[in-house]
This record gives sequence, C-alpha cells and structure tokens, in this order.
Amino acid sequence: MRPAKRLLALAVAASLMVTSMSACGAGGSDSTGSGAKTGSTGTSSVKQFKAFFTVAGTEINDDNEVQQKITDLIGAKCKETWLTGQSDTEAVGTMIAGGEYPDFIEGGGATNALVEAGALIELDNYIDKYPNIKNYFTQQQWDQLKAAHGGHIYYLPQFSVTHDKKTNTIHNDEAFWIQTRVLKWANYPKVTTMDQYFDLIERYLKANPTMKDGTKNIGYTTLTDGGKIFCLNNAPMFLDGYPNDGSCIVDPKTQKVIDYNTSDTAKLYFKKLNGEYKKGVVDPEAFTQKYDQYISKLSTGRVLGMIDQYWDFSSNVNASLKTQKLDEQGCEYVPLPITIKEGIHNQWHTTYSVMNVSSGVGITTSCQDVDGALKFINDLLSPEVVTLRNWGVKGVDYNEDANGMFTRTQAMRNKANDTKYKASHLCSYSYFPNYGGMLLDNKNAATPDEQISEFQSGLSQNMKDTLKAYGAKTFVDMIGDNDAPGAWYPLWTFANTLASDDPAKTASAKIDDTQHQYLPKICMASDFDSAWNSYMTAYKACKPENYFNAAQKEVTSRVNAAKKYETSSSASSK
Amino acid sequence: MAEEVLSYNKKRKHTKGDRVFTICNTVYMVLFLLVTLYPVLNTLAISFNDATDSLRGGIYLWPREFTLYNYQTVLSQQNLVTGLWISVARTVLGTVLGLLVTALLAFMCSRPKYLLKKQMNLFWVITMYVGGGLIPVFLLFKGLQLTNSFWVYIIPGLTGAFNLLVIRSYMEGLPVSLEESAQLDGAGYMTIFARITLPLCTPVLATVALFIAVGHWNSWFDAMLYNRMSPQYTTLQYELMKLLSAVTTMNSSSGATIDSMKSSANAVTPTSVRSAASIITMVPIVCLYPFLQRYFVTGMTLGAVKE
Repeated sequence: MRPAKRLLALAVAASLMVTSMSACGAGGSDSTGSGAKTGSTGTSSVKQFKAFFTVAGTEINDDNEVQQKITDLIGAKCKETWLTGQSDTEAVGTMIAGGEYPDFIEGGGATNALVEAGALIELDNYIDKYPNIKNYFTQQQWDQLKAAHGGHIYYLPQFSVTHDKKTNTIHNDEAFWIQTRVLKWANYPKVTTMDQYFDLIERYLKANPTMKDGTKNIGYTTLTDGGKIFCLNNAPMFLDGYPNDGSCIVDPKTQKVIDYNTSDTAKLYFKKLNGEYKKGVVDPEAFTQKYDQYISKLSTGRVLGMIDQYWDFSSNVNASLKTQKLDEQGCEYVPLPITIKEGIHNQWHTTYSVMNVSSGVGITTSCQDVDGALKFINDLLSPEVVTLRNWGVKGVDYNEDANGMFTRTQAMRNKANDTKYKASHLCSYSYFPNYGGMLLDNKNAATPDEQISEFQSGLSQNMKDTLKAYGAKTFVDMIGDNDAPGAWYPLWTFANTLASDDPAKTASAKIDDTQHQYLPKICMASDFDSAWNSYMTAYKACKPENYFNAAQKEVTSRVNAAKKYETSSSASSK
Repeated sequence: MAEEVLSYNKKRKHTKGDRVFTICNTVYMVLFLLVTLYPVLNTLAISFNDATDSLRGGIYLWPREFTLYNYQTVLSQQNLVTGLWISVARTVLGTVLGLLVTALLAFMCSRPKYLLKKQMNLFWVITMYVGGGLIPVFLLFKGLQLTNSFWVYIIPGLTGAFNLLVIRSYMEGLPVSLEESAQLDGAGYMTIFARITLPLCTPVLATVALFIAVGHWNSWFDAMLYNRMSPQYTTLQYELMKLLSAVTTMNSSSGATIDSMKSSANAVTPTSVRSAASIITMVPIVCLYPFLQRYFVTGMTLGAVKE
C-alpha cells in the first residue's frame, strides 16, 4: 500500500514538474539561429547575434564589462559559443544535418563542408557597403579569397591582416629552446648548430647532474603525442634553414617542393637523437609521454632543452616556474638559432602577413539580418573598438602616457592573467576579424604582448642578463627575423583545404601514422641504420608523392596568382 | 530452516583456515578500499592546491599550497545555477519516469503468457548492439521537435535495453505463485504490478535508479549536441566541460604568454579545474548513495511461498 502511495506521490510531483518545465520552455523559447533579435531596452535597441566557432574558447559572462562598452558604442552584441568535446567536423556535421546555424560561424577544418552545404551567404555584393571591411583586405587579398571558392567570398579570415608594421617581441613559433642557466654556466657561448646545442647540454648535464634541491636534471625531451608530433618530425626543415611551410620545404629559387622527411639532414638529426638517447641525454620517456606529462616535466624546471612551438608550452610552464621562483635559478627558456651546420641562415622566425584563405568567419543562411551582421563586423574594426578589444579599458587595464603610449602596472598585468577577470571584464571578440601588428593609432602594438616596453618590464634578472649577453631586446632578436620567402608561404594552410577523399589527404594521413609508429623506434633503436631503412621502406609505401605533387600544384598556383600583382606594383613604383 | 543454519554456524569452530581466510579477506578489502579511495583523495588534494604548483606533480593526499581559487573559478562560471537546476530536474524527472517506464515494460516482457515475449526481447537486445549513429539520431530528434528543448534529456532515454533486461530478469525470478494467488483474489495486471511486483523489486529498482540517476547527472554531450544554442537548457556538466575546454585552450594560446612570464597570480590549469569540477560533480551523487543503500537488500520473498 505505502510504496504504491509513494509512487503515486512521485508521479504527481513529476507531472507538476513537467507542467512547470513546459511552461518555462514556452516562456523562454528562443529558437536557434533565429538571426538577429532586436530587443528594445529603453530608448536604444540592441541587435543580438549568435556565433559559433569550431575552436575551443572561453565563453565570457553575459554581463561582461568591455562587451557592454562595445555594445553601447555600436548597438550590437554577439553571444559567442565555442567547440566543446567534439571535433570541428563533427560539430559542423550535426549543424549541416539539422540545417540550423547561428548567425556567425567559423568552420575551421570543416569550412569547405559549410560552403559545399550552402550554409554560408555569398558576401561579394555586400562588401563595398562597409568601408572598414572593404579596406580590411587589399585587392590582392580579396582576389585570393575569391579564388579559394570559385570566385565568391563566403567568409572573412580573421588573423591575416597586419596593420602598419609587424611587432615582434616573443618568438611564438618553433625553436630549439634552452634554459638560461645552461647558457650562463657556459658563459653565454655562441650556439648555432645542432651539434653545439647537444654538446652544450651534454657538458652541462655532466657538470650539474641535479638541481639545487637534488632533483635530477633531464637533458632534452620531446613530444610525439597525437598532433604534437611536430615537436619531433619537422626539425629537418628548420635545420636546413627553411621557414615553416609545414610538411615540406619549398625551394625559394626553383619553387620546387622538397620532402624533408627523407633528406640527409633528417637522417643526421634522428641519428643525433638516437646517439644522445643512448648517452642518456634524451629523456627516456620522451617518445611515449603524453602532453600533460610533458608540461608537468617542464614545469619542474628539470628539462634543460627541447624543441617546441612557444605557444605550446609557454603559458603553463612560465607561470609554474615563476611560482616556484625557478626563474631565479635560470630555468626559463630562450630560443636558439640552430641549423644543421655552420653557414646556413636560420629562418625559425619568419614574419609574414600572408592571407590564410582556408577559413574565416562567415554569415550563415540562418541569419535574418545580414546587413546588421556585416555592420557588426565593420564596427568591430573601428579604431576605438579595436583598442577596447585588444587592450581593454583605459585607466583600468592600461594607462596612457603623454606621448600616447600604453603601459600597464603589475596589478593590471596580474588581472589580465586572472581567469575570472577575463570572463567578467575582457572581451576581445577574438574570432572576429582583427588587426595584428600595430593599433590603428600607429603608436602602440596591437596587443599588450607585442608592446616592447611591456615585454621588457618585469622580466627576470636571468632573462635580462641572457638577452643582454646576446645583444637582444626580444626573443626575436635572439634568432633573427626573416621576411616571407614567397607568395606560397606558408604552405601549411593548404592542407586544410584538401577534400577528405583526396589522395593527397590519404597520403598525408598515412605518413602521419607511419611517423607515429617509426620515429620513436628509430630514435631508441640499438641499430640506427637498419631502423632507419625500415622506416624509409614504410614511408615510401605511403605514396608520399601524391601529397607532394598536390603541394607542388598549390605552390605553382599561388605563385601564378601573385604574379599579376607583382608586375602591377613594380610598374607603379617605377 | 533458518534456525538450522543458525545453529550450524554456532556449532562450527573457528578453524585455522577460517582465521587465515578472515585475515586475507580483511587485508584484501582494505587494499581494495585504498585503491578506490586514493584517486578520490588525490583529486581532492589537487583541487585545493595552487594550480601552477600542481603542475610540478608530487601532490598525493594533502595540498602543498592551499587555495580556494580553483573552486572560485569553477563556481564563478556563469549559467552554473541554470545548469544545476536543469541537471537536478533531469536527474529527478528522468529517474522517476525512466524507472516507471522501464519497470512497466519489464513487467510486460517478463509475463510468461505474453505472446510476443521472445520477439520483443530480441528486439530490445538488438538496440544494445546496433545504434543509429550521431547524425541520423540528431535528424530524428530534430524531426520530433526535441532539439532546443528540455525534453530531449528525458524522452529518448526513458527506457534502455540494459536496464530493461536487468529488471526483467529479476521479475522472472519472482515466484509465479505470488502472482497466481493475487489473481485468485481478483487482481488485474496493473494491481499485480503495483502491489506485488514493484514492492518485491525494490533492490533491483534501487540499483537501476542509481544507474539512471548517475547517467543523467553525468551527461553533457546531449546538452551540447541538441541544446547548444539554448543556454536556458544547459546542464551543470556541460558548463563544467566548457570551462575545462576553455582553460585548456587558454593555456595553450598565444594570448597570455607574456603575462604568464611575469605573473603567476591566480591562474588555473586544466588539471586543477578538472579536479575541482570532479569534486563538485561527485558530491551530490555520493550523498544520494546512502539513501539508496538500504534498498539493496534481498530476501523479501523468503517465506512467502511454500513450494
């Protein structure tokens, strides 16, 4: 009897909940991708957009302060949502299946799928009406963008524009990194070749097997976890003095695509790693560790050197070293201009403002106010809003001196690094078009990161000493700056534009698998040569030529597309 | 018969073998307890430890640099309250309705006289091995107007083959005579279900309720897939997941590199956020368990029938 009664009571409670829920649902209904909703609050009406970006990102609070300031200025705001726990293809796949989109979308690796599904609006005829958008790209860039999709513009790449000049403080890309204590110990020697680099680490390790607190030092480590295998496999390209074209080298003179995986330099490099592994300089876990293990290892300050992209380790590792005051022991990393032998000019750092045409933010067919959406982007590119997006609020996030230069106090820097503050205060609309290089005032760098004064203030003494010893003001000075080698650069942008059934894509996927399987083996092999030979056999079976032929075609077409601008610009300069 | 067992136990002397067994058993159980408890305590310690300090590793049972910042970060995530409310609602509603529907269905499938018994059972088993795939299911739910609604959490999951089989097997184990005697007294199927079968099934119902509740409480993928653009139907776990993935990218993007070189103040890492979020998630379910535990006892049918 009683259980039955209880059951009945539960059922009644449930049905009550059901009714209240459905009432809620009806009240708060807000159909997806409904396009701009004009909610009038008081006198002003604010346009509300929704955006989805196929990258993981931080969702800011609805009452974010900078966002509110921007909204007050331009009369529109956008609710941004980011990728969570899915790949870009999966997320876009379900959206295409459902036929419902937010107003703005960035497709990432699935951009082609969006275009093919007809989800993005052709922007060709709208652009001229919006001066900030129109001037955002040069005519050449617009044409490149059109060329990527049969003569139409479907999206706006966000990160391809450098205003005024490129500001370089950090080298955010790949390099051989070394701790400042190693350089200091050897009295800041000139290190330019791979052999010198490993030799220095080896000597230091022999002289200093442990840290101050007794933990063992690790000479060199690397990473092969998933996509992060780039830490291991692409060094031969840089060692031969080429910039980062991704999976191949492009000879600047002949514009020929060269496969660096099979080059002599590659063999030398892996042989070196193999030798150092046997000597115990290379971390025994280097080829099996996961990314988080790698980061925690670097965070202990034990690792003397490694090759990586700066963005891949800096944020976590730097903060942790700082907390433990390991910067005072010289555990921070600086990049070195390493090549395979003397006399080769390194191009680890290459400044370029070449268009990445493979993806960008587009406006979807679900958007009901295309003009409003474009006006939103247009307004986001106005000087005042750009400053708000990049630097925050004057007097709160930065100060302006008499010359109009921006500075920050340590308290401001701390706040800018605070997770909660970022969500409640800062709003960069980071996946909408923005300017790199300089702010539109032509005085300050586009972001605090790139402001030289910001870079230098607050560096640790060890870091200052090291930079000074090499006559460098910034990381970029440590390794030197280079211009983009040609119109094809960087070629890695083309890999994303390949269709999934393209033989080139298949080949590149197979190469990736083979490298994951073989590279750790050859680095740890007792007999290097036979391991190398079996790797080469497996590598050739991937039909790499399919990939490199496609890459070659891409280089040729990019170079040809750029030619007409070169002649016209040289004619006009005459 | 019960008396016999008791007196037998009394009479038995504790032999050497018994003692060895007891000792081994206790040692094994204590070890097992430690093995299961350690990860929880470790997570707890990390969640209270300074994030950048945790990166160094070496945190075991006790935080090294105590901080509440990880929890502050997680709890200051907006929509957390909405998410919590929706999560609780879907857990309560989903469990009650799911249990009712599954039990009814199991009751039907366990009737020996049911004509399509074999076929229906096979039909359910098939769903355990064959799924529709992500996009077809999405299209189906969209067609049924379930996307961008709360009901996508409840309706599709009302019954599941596994839970159905668990309850059905239990019901089949109940003595048929109980049902027959009720029928003799004039009870219909609904009465038998409500008054005989369900009360006898409490242990299995408690078990399945726990399965369903934990499933509802933990799930976030459906919130992301079907209600991505409807923040009013977000769930707690989806919000935590979003925060986690945001922290993961934030720490690997170029934006904060300079700042991190100079200031270590108030930073969180994926590990610290994950730990704090795990603890926050775990607590309600841990609290639920003791209340369900008392139903995990069998033997109500003992002595009801003499066969």
